[in-house]
Amino acid sequence: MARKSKSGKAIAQVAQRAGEIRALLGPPPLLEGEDRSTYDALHDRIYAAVRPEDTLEEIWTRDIVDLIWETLRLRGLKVALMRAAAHEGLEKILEALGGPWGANSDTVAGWMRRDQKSVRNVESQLKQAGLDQDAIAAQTLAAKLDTFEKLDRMIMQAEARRNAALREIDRHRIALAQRLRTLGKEIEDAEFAEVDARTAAAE
Amino acid sequence: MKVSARTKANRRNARLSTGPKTTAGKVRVARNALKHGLAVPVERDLIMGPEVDRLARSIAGETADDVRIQYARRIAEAQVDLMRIRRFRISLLEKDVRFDPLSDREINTAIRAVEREFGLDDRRYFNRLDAARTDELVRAKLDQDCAESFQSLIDRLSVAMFEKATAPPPTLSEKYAVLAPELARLDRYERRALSRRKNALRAFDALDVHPQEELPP
Repeated sequence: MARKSKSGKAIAQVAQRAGEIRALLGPPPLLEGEDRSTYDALHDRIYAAVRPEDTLEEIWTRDIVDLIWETLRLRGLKVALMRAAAHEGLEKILEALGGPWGANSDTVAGWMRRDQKSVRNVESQLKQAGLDQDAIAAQTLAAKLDTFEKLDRMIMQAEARRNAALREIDRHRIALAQRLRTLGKEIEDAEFAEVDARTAAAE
Repeated sequence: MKVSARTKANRRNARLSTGPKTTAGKVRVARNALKHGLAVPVERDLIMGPEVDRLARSIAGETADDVRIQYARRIAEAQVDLMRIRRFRISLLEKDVRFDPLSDREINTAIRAVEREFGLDDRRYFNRLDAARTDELVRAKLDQDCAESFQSLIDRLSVAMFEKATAPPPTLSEKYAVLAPELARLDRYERRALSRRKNALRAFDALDVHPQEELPP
């Protein structure tokens, strides 16, 4: 059996410790249908960038990963909501433009299904009124403004918490560096004192 | 000391506001703390409690003394609390909100709409009540209005329940919107736990620079 080198052993120990802490911090906060491998890829990238040195930094790193994941989820939801609620925006525009009674709902349903005839119909109606797709987006936003606002607030909160975690790592590392400097100075002082004592004895 | 009339009235009124009187009300209030269990201190949590010790050991290091472990334990408690809150949030978002009964808000909205429709929400209604004491015709009309408004309310609530039960499953963004009040409440718990963790972490980091005595209980 091949012997492990000292550095190999150290790497294995670090990996084992990281695995243990990861288990302690619990499963990733994934919702049903969310991709575990994408989460893991994000985790590995952040982990490689931050390179946590101890359990505390592991905790913050995990916070950062989870908060980025939350931000991505919420941003994705905004896009999905914009698409899913587009019919509401279109309905409002067609309602304002008038047209034969009852014809709008069929047109809107066809437009949502991307039925060519309905799409052309909507485009021509918008063109006649001097409007374009942006008008649909604007009306959709207005119809779902409350939900968009809630999602935006949640995104802002997640981003603020992620930044706070990064700041805490910075602060912790400065404290750690200061501790190491103090420790180094103490060791140096002790060594000088030892040399002085030895020299004095020889003399 | 002379007690003012206002103070007397306040004390008298306060005696009337001593919580629910009915058995149903008392039962409901008794379950308040059990809604999500997040108010239970983490060390008393049978599932998450043991995690605190393991995490505290990991934070303090293998060769840590008792003081260091005590400080690390504070961090671990806040961290496990955070994990508990975050797990609860995920379970909340994964819950199927389709077949929930009508919320108090929905019921109140329906009641207010019916009250407005039948003019039961303004002073005229009370004037009519006064008139009904002496006038048979007014009383009969009022009874009829009340019966109609009650029927209208039942109809509306039935329609709302049917619509809710047959609606397509909500998308995640709709769930976020519907669950916004609960999520905001959870966020308050999370903010407090984050603050506790930050303070505990700073105290732990300062331990090497300024060695401390044992933590106060």
